[in-house]
Amino acid sequence: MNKKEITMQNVRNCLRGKGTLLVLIAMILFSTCTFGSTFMSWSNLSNVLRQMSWFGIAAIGVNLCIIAGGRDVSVGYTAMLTGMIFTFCITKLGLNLWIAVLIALCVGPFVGMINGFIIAKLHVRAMIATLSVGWILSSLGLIINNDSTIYISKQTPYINLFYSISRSSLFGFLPTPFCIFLILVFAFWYFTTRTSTGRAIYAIGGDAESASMMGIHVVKTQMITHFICSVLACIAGLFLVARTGVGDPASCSQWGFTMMSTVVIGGTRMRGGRGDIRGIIIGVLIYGMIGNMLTMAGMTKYWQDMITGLVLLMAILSQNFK
Amino acid sequence: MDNIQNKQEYVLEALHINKSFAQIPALSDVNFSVRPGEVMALMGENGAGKSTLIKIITGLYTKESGKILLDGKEINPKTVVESQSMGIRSVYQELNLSPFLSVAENLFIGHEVKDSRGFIDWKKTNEEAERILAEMSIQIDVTRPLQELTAALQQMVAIARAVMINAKVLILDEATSSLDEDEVQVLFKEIRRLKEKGIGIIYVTHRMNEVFTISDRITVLRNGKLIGVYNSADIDMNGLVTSMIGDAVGRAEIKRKKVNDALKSAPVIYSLKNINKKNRLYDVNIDIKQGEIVGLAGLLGSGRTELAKIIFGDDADFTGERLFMGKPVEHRTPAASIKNGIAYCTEERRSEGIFALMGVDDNIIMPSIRNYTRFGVIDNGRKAEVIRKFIDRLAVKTPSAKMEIRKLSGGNQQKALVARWLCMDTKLIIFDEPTRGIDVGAKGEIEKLIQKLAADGLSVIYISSEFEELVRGCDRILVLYEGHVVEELTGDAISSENISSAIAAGGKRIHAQNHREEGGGAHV
Amino acid sequence: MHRIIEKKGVALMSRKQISKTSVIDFIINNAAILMCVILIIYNSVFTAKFFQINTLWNMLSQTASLMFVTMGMTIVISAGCTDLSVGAIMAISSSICGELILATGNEALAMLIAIAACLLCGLVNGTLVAKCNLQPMVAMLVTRMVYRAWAQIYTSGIARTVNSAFGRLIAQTRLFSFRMPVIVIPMVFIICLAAFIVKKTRFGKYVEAVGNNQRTAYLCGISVTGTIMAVYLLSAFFASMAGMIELFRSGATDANTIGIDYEMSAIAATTIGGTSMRGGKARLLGAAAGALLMTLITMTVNFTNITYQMANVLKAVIIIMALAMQSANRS
Repeated sequence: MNKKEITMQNVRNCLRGKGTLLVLIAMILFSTCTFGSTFMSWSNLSNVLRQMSWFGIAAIGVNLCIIAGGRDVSVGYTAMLTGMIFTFCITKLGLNLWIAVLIALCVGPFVGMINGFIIAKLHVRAMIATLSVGWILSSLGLIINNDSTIYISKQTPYINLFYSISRSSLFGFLPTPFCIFLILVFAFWYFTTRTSTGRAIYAIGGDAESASMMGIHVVKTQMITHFICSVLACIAGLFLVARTGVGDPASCSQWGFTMMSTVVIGGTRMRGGRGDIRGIIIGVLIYGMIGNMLTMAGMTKYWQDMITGLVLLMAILSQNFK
Repeated sequence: MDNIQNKQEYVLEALHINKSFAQIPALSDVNFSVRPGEVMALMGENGAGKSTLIKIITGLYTKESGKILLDGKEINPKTVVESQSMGIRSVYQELNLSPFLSVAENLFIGHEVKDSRGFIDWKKTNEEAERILAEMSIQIDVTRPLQELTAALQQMVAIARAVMINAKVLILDEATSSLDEDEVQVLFKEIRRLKEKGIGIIYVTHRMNEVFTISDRITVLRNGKLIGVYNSADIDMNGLVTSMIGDAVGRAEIKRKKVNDALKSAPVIYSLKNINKKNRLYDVNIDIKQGEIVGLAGLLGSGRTELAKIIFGDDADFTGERLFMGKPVEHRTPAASIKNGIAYCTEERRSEGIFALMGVDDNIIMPSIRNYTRFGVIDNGRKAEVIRKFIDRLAVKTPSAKMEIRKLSGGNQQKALVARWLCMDTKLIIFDEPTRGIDVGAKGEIEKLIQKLAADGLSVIYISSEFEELVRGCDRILVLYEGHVVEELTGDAISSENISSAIAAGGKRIHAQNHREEGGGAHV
Repeated sequence: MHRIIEKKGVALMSRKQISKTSVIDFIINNAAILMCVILIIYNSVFTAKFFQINTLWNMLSQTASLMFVTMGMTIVISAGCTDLSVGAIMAISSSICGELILATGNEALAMLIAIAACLLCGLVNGTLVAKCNLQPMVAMLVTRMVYRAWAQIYTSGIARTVNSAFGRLIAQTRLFSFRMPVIVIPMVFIICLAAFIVKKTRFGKYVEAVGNNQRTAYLCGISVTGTIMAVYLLSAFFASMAGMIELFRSGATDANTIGIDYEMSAIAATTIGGTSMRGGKARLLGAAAGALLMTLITMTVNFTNITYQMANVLKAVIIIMALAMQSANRS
């Protein structure tokens, strides 16, 4: 009897893993049929991949947080603030580009430590804590340049070199940021499966109390997770600026929720403890495809928001009913 | 007191331990010791200080004064992790492993097997895990998630984890309470093996018969004080019970209540016909008469609570018929049961009994609040009057009716919860472990209260794992074993011995049946 | 013997703890009022022309819409849930109401339809939380996004000026010799209504019971699903009123900005007002003081010529502090 159950479960597991993949393939087929070569051209596809890569880089961190049984909805604002500070340093303070990069890269660790401290040490629930921190960050982003965007001048030294991290392609066709995203995914997959800290993240997500009884440092692990998450968001913010060349305080504001849903689409358990970092690739691609399809269908930004929200809600609900 | 002063060194010694909570002493001047290769049982009633002592030894609480010696050296663990690294390992009733991780990982997390580059070596980890479990004669796929295992196997994995590195002392805190008889035997085998390895074992349990089977010595605590240390061979059940409960104060009333002749002609108020629940209950038939106290006796997992939940409508997943006042009952929600006059006093007072942050008054009134409202607005005058009446009637000791209920003692909380059901038109009330976690004085009061309710014409279903309580108070006792009603005791046949022997006999009969039906197939 | 010790212990405990716990309790329960007092003192020292009756009226009329949202939020939080979509619901109500007034000129009809639309949103929120068992925060994050998109689609994202007689009456008319704005009346009314619901009605008791312990509430025959649905409906109703007040006060529909950050301000007001984020107890007066505090912070920031956004930073810090104090107090 046991054997039968196990094989049934295996089949189900197999299907569950492939289910999202099937959805992705179906979406690609549908788009190809509907939009034809506008969709199935490499320029469009590589564009989707490119635009999803910074989103994906930040999503890795969110995935870690959710596996650890936490939440982080401040990632978008971290990325935004990174961009704002970077552009501010260059245009308003006239700093050297590389110093500006260094300063901007400090945002992630700083936010990560604050998040970690509030959640792990002050025992405020992760959701409301990161929501509030996100609010602070978004306000700071607005304060920096009086609610308006900052444009980087074309004359800035080395600026094209900096832009190339997001705008170039490897071997002439593979978007560089997407490659970096893939490398990071596999690095973090290796990290979560093969290191003690990585396994500790799973253990505290499954049951924090028993994890601490097993000698796992829950507070430390939580802090590490939030630290990594914010650092990745910060890196994502730099990639975004390298693509747009603009520090925009309104950017990335929807990342918090949409990332959580892409992580869930990627197969991670909403309440933590289970999930595969590699799943995020499929989650991010599906999310990117939705956006691409809606744009090609000629929808306004508002309709896109609405439909994306509803689709992601379905994704979360489908896991809930399992 | 048996003063054992051998020169043999103890593996763990706790000397003159004092600890109090908010000025109330929980432990006063307690001495406790374990030899290597010995099973030391730690016994005592609820609130005796067992778990406080264990928590001090494992570093969860800090002691106020006293010394803890491990291998003769003084230790001062501040956290559980610290005490673990010193070799004090514990396994609790509720699982302390990670449900989604694999069996092997649960064994090795925190001290992973690593390859030369510092990464986890999964192949070696799994091999090691298989070897360790094989030593305990367990053969399972170690890559399966822990949650897919049975409770007993999970418990064994927990023990394997506890003893696999440098364990000097193993604490088993109510480790058997979710296991059945066969599984307990497997556990005992393992304990004996660990004894031979020279590990000192502290065994905390409430199951009397287990203590005599497995332990070498017994330490008894009562009200935070050390009562005595006995060699298991030198003491019998009666002596132990006397030592735990104390003088005859609580036990003087172990008298059977008088046979209630009025019951013969009383009408049947509630009956269950052929109730079946998958893997839980089999063909249960019960008739409950008006004014009758029916006891449900059985070990944990015998289906007592499941039955109560079916009667109360909290569990909709069963087959069979329920009759209330002769009419079949269709509804399967608590709300409908309450409307019919069926009430349920839960065993989990904290997690499903009280509204911790609300006042005593609101706690009492909540299910019947409809009776005191007009167009949804509460009539405070009428409400206060009823609440005062019931607080007086049940002698709930509270400074004011508005006092938050969590600030009351367990016994008074329980009384308030009983008041909750009495202030409405209740006809049948189910008590599930009504005296758990309550001090001795309040226990007696609750028991008397239940008798009074029955005398007033209420029907009572009385569930308790303390058989003497049932013997004292019930008109009729149904003995359950793994979901079967194996015996019905009435009148003079009611006694603790008869319940125990009915459980034993019923258990044998049902196992024999199962073996026959499955053709001697494996019973896991 | 043991019982005597216990009693003595309790007496000792209470005496000793008065000094420590009750001071902390007092601060937590009255944090909002205390901080209000501090800010008022600060302003009266450093801000010229602060001590005028007009300052008070300004403050109250600026708080009006937040007060509605906060009352709803306090009830939601005391039921153990959270409603992050109130800001978006305000946008819906103001957009629909404003557009309909422009289209039909019938204010009553416009307001009714706007309220109906918001109740629909509340129903969806309640369903997601009570029936689909989504965590409230997660569910509200998505509905927040969808509702605002709805409002933006409805108005095509364009802000339009709305002129209405009723709106002028509510927002601009002043009463009596001390020039009290009319808007103060509904604001006081809503506080009383919320207090009445929580303290005096069966529903209020059910809300607290569900917030305390859903399982116990179910075993007491209370419909947990129904209560949570009702709570979200109530919150959406209050938010719809708030949206219309904002519409009348500003005299324009703007689906992009109306109601932004209101949910966070309301959470801040509620938590600093002493309502635990875990639910179980609604402290409405504290929350009302909290809402006033939010306006005071904004005013102080304006008076001292700091960027307006700084007020949000302070409010967020207040949420974190309040929650940290709550969890420290619990353990």
